[in-house]
Amino acid sequence: MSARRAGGPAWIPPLVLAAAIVAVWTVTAALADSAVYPGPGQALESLRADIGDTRFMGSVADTARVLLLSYAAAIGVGAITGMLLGLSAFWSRAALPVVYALNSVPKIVLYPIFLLFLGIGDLSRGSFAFVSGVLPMFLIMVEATAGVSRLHLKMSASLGMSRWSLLRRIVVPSVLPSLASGMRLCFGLTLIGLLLAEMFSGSSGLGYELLRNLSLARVENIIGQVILIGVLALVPTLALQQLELRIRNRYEVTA
Amino acid sequence: MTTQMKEKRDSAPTAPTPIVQLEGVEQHFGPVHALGPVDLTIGRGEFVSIVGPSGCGKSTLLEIIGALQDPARGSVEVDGAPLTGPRRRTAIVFQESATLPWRTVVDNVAFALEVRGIGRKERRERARELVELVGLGGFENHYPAQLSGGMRQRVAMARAMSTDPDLILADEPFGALDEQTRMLMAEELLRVVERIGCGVLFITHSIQESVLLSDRVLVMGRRPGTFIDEVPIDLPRPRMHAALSEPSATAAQERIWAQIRAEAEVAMVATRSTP
Ligand SMILES: Nc1ncnc2c1ncn2[C@@H]1O[C@H](COP(=O)(O)OP(=O)(O)O)[C@@H](O)[C@H]1O
Ligand SMILES: [Mg+2]
Repeated sequence: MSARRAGGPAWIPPLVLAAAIVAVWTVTAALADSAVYPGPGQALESLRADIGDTRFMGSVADTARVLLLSYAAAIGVGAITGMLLGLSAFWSRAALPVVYALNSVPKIVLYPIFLLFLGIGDLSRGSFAFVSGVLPMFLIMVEATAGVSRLHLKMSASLGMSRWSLLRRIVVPSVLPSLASGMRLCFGLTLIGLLLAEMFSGSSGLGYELLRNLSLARVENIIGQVILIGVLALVPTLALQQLELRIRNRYEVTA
Repeated sequence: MTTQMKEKRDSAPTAPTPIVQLEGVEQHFGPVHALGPVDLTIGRGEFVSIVGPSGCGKSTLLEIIGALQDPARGSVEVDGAPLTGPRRRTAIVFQESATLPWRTVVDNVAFALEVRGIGRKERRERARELVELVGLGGFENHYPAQLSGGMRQRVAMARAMSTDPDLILADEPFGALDEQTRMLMAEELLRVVERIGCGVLFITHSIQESVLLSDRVLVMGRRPGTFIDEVPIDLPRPRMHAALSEPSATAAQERIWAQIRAEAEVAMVATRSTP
């Protein structure tokens, strides 16, 4: 009922699908009856035990804190630098190929460099997550800024608008839809970056917990934690989707 | 004695400076000779149309007069002074998509005033009057996406009026509209322009439209565009669509068409023979 009120009937099909997946999972797990394939009941049971554990909850808090910081930094830095660069045709042409090339390198191969310079800890993990999010955000914003309607720019020029006025009244509103989709996209990328970093060099955090359970062969805990990560990621993603929808409805050029 | 002399001077018929005066204006884009040389004079309150094949340099000419680009050669004077940058009292009407999709009708119309630092209350008041004037009363708080193309173009017209222009430059403003809407919009434009009495340079590819609206139609030849004919339109004002069927109007349309046709035919052959 409350889900319906918040998101409207668009939420119903995914909910039905999720319920179907859980049903299939329950049935197949019962049929397989295997120690490495726990059913939803077992997974949730071990998740409940984990959540009762203060050390585990410390890990969750660590991940959330670093994620929030690196995500905010990635959005802020990516959006502003991307927009500034997009305003200059020359610098966009110079920088875009380089950044695209950099962005196409699987980020994980860069991770040792982060460890080398920043050591093991929140700083290197957060920086890695930041880089995972900031490059795509930057690229999206450069393209969006370079794509501002030429007609709108001409109209502004004919009014003798100052650069600041142009930025505030034309460029920013024009790129808002891209900013919103960038924010949604980069949330997932930043999260992946952080979890990977935690797996490789964590002493805490959800990625670290996952790998620890793997070495302890606690499959039901792993699956429980995967569910937890899924839920933790889903809520902001849905919120960002709603935000994007609203911004697109209002700001997008519909010719 | 002195008063007598003064009176004499005042009553002497001094021609007012034209609103636009171009001499030998040319534009080049790298190796492409896009325009000119053209001479052009537009009187105060005069409505001048330019018709010509596409790519002949019409938009280029309009942008030069609007200070959106500098000419490679020639002199441009608007209101008796050399052009140094965008003028406050020159308004440009672009295609309909120049409305800002994130602003309501009122805020689109108020945009030029906002840019010029007019306070919120005053500019909205003025914008509301203009919205009413162009027949969009009741749509003040709609967004452009909720309007038809013709209505969006009324918004653009109202925005152009907002800064009390003495010169309006319009570049195929009705080009994206259907035939009926174009005709209605053309009549609407005439009504509004006659009311504020500004000079107009109007670019169109519709010969009918140019004859209906203008005091004078200039025909531009293919690139690099120069004026190949000048057709005065002596129809009484105010004009309505019916004026087009008067003998002098049909004669004008035929004369313009003959010129354009000759240009278009040469251009077609030229495009065919170039690889
Ligand atoms: N910024 C530009 N750079 C290079 N060529 C241009 C530019 N603007 C216009 N041109 C060229 O100049 C010619 C005239 O263009 P334009 O004034 O837009 O023609 P029209 O409005 O009559 O269709 C065309 O051949 C066009 O390709
Ligand atoms: Mg043009």
